[in-house]
Amino acid sequence: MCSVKEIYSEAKKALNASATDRVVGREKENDEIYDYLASCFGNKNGLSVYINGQPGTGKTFSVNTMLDSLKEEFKFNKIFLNCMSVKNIQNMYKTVLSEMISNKIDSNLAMPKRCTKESLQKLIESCITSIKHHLVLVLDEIDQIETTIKNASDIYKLFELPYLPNSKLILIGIANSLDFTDRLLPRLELTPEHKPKVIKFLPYTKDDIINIVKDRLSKVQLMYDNCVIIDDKALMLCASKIASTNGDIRKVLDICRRAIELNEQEAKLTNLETIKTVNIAQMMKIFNAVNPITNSNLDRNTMPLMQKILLCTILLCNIETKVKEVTLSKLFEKFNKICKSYSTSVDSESEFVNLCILIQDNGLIEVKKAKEVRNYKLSLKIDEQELRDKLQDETFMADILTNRAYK
Amino acid sequence: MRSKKAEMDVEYNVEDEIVSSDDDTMSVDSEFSTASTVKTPRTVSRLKKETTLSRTPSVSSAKKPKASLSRRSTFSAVKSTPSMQKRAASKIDQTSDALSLYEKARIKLHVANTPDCLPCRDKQFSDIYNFIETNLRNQTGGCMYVCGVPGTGKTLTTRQVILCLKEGVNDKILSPFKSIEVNAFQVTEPHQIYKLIYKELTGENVSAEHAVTLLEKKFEHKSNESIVLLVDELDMLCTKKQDVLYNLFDWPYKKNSRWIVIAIANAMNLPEQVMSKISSRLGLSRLIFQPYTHVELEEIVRLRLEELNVFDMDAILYAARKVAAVSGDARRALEICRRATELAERDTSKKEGKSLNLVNIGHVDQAVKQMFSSAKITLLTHASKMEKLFMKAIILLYQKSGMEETSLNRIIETHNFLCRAENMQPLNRTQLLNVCCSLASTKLILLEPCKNIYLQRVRCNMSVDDIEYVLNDNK
Ligand SMILES: Nc1ncnc2c1ncn2[C@@H]1O[C@H](COP(=O)(O)OP(=O)(O)OP(=O)(O)O)[C@@H](O)[C@H]1O
Ligand SMILES: Nc1ncnc2c1ncn2[C@@H]1O[C@H](COP(=O)(O)OP(=O)(O)O)[C@@H](O)[C@H]1O
Ligand SMILES: [Mg+2]
Ligand SMILES: [Mg+2]
Repeated sequence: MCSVKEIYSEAKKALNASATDRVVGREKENDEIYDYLASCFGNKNGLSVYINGQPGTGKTFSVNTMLDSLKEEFKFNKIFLNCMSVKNIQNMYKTVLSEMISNKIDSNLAMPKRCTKESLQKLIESCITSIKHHLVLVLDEIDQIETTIKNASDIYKLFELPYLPNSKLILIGIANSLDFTDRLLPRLELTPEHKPKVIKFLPYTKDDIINIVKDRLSKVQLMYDNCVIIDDKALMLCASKIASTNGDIRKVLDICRRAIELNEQEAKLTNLETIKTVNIAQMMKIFNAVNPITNSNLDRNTMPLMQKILLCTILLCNIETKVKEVTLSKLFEKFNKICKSYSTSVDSESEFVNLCILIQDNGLIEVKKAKEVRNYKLSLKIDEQELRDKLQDETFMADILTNRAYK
Repeated sequence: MRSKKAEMDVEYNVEDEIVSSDDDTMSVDSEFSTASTVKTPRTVSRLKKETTLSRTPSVSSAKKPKASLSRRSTFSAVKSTPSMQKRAASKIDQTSDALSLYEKARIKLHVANTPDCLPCRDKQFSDIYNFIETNLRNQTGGCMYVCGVPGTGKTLTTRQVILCLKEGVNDKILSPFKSIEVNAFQVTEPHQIYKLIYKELTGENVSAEHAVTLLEKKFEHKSNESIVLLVDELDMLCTKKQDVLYNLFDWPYKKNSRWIVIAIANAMNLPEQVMSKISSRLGLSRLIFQPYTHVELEEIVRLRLEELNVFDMDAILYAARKVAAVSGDARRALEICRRATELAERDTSKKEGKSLNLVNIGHVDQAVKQMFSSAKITLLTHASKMEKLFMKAIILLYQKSGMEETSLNRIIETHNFLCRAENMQPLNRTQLLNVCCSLASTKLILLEPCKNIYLQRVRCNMSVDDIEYVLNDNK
């Protein structure tokens, strides 16, 4: 018999995003990638593949796992580069080249003394057309190069690299934006055969999600005489909720982990000998807790009084002027008037500005800066009616909002 | 604007001052020695709950000093880590002869003085603690987003958690880990944060660009040590491309990564504002620090003062209410109270009696006024008679027309009228132009340039209430 704590701990560990190296599901997409790559390794030519899909749909994970398993079948080198930290094309070529050198892809390769864009590109070109084995270059978050590499011809050259005569480069781009291929690539005017093969990773469906979580937990369950960690209904709830939004597996794993944590806390109070199963009520509780709409202090009813009065004042100003923006000086004046009749006050203008910033931190308003503080422009970031309803819950605020004297 | 950077500098300076003033050997207060039996954080948190429970219903009885004193001591003994108590105790004890009660209270109330205990943040403490501890034990990575308005104890709580975990390492309950704390205010440009992190990690100085590649290299091999990275003031790291945020939150997801990132920020809706791939990585482990209520603020101040009997309980409550109504910022509550002790001390020395003046509501009120009345009010208070009349003319015109802007010509007319009403010789146009310029140079009024100088538009850059307050005060 093992300790209950150990099971919980193992379960949480299994649900950590990077805890596994087995891809569950995604057979169709993986087969497609495999076919492309295998044909390419056989034919001794280059290729470019572009993979897109929403965050947390397993793109990076699938590609990395696939390449690791291909290592057993084919001989090739792999360079993985995340375009997020790439500053410009030169910087990118340089990183690729230094990776090539450190991976000893070509023994004659050395970093040139002067790293101009052209010289770096020449070197890479000559290298990929003369190497014996294929080189797989994975460019993760490739849609970011659009913001950093302004010159379309540079991107064009990059996408043409696999199609140089004798090129042994396989370029795999991974990104979120679905329209990267539709929008950017036509501009590049690549010839039809040089267009990257596009593979879409659709968001995970309910069944995919259930399979992934079950697979991760199954190992733990086997280890500890088949105890059930998350019950089917609870898992179903989680899967269908996430599948209906964006199918992000990171969110699923996070929620399941938190459900287990909650369960552990509740179980501690009863001192059970065996592990309790996460039930649907607990899963519901987690979902309610992570709902981003209940984030601001206003929703949690912890917002300081003055900040609530300020929100009322903005509402009143908007109603009065029928304009959505109000200047800070105007607001301050009205605010003081209201405060005075309830015999409170803020002590100075800078205090008032501070108050505005605090509400901005809550995400309820936007403060547009201007040269002079008094000309700052404030506008509501949530629906007027919604805010009104929230404020009206309290008699004090309702009083301000309905009092004719302030209108 | 919030001047956090300045605030930090001040905190550091004063910390130095306090530390340098104690150079004798350390003495541990007997009251605290009981704490050394409490070792594991788990028991700490359990005991914490009990004390909280026993504490909450009796807030109203806070005015009975004896009862609250005993509660306080048990509470602090259980709550804080032993090493912190040593530090705090030694700071106060050695200086006890030299310092007056007021001075002791002021040191205790200083924001830079790490408190002996951390009231009102039990849940947040255990949330962060559990999060880091689970990841340490499982040898996994993860990130947590901590948010809340300034002065709600975010940085303080997180630091305490890390101290507490370090103690766990010393007691051999946990395997060793590395902890790094970086503050976005330490860098002038978001990307420099890589440099800072790398320096903290290895002690080497490299360029920011190089640092990020070196850091990424680290993830290629499985490391045998967890790293807890605390990133403070995360809001400052937002760039248009958001690459810094992306990298910070991507590291914990790398294969075999053992980075545990705790990001602290003010904005509660940051995860909704960033790119979806970042919010996906940020996860749902979001912890919100609510503004303190007046009950909590009162407790925070009261516990800091411990047995020092310098405050009227009503005065603390008053300060707490004052702050809770506006921002719920503990830093502010402490500053007000500290200033109030200064004022009380001044009163005592004036009186020349031996008896000690308790800090009362009057002192607190005065402190609030002094600290938060704006620079503009001070400026106007010390302005010349003619400048004041000029301002008066502006608000008279404003009240008549309801327009915020008026032409200089009309102000000159009104100014002349006011002068006569007060039996003073009116100024000529050039003289008045000088008055106008000097007011504009201090930004009390704003001018909109125009070809004809006398037609330029004037608007005051200060609330009408503030102006009236100053003008009426001086009569
Ligand atoms: N099919 C799957 N089977 C098992 N685990 C998976 C699967 N898909 C994703 N995961 C898990 O989810 C995590 C996130 O996936 P991944 O990093 O591939 O997302 P991504 O699609 O690249 O997202 P982004 O666009 O944000 O980079 C992986 O670390 C992996 O552990
Ligand atoms: N619960 C508390 N108990 C005691 N002191 C506190 C508490 N919360 C905040 N403080 C005081 O307020 C100061 C500011 O807290 P800090 O954690 O730095 O705020 P922030 O949320 O802005 O990071 C601390 O240095 C501490 O002196
Ligand atoms: Mg990815
Ligand atoms: Mg802080």
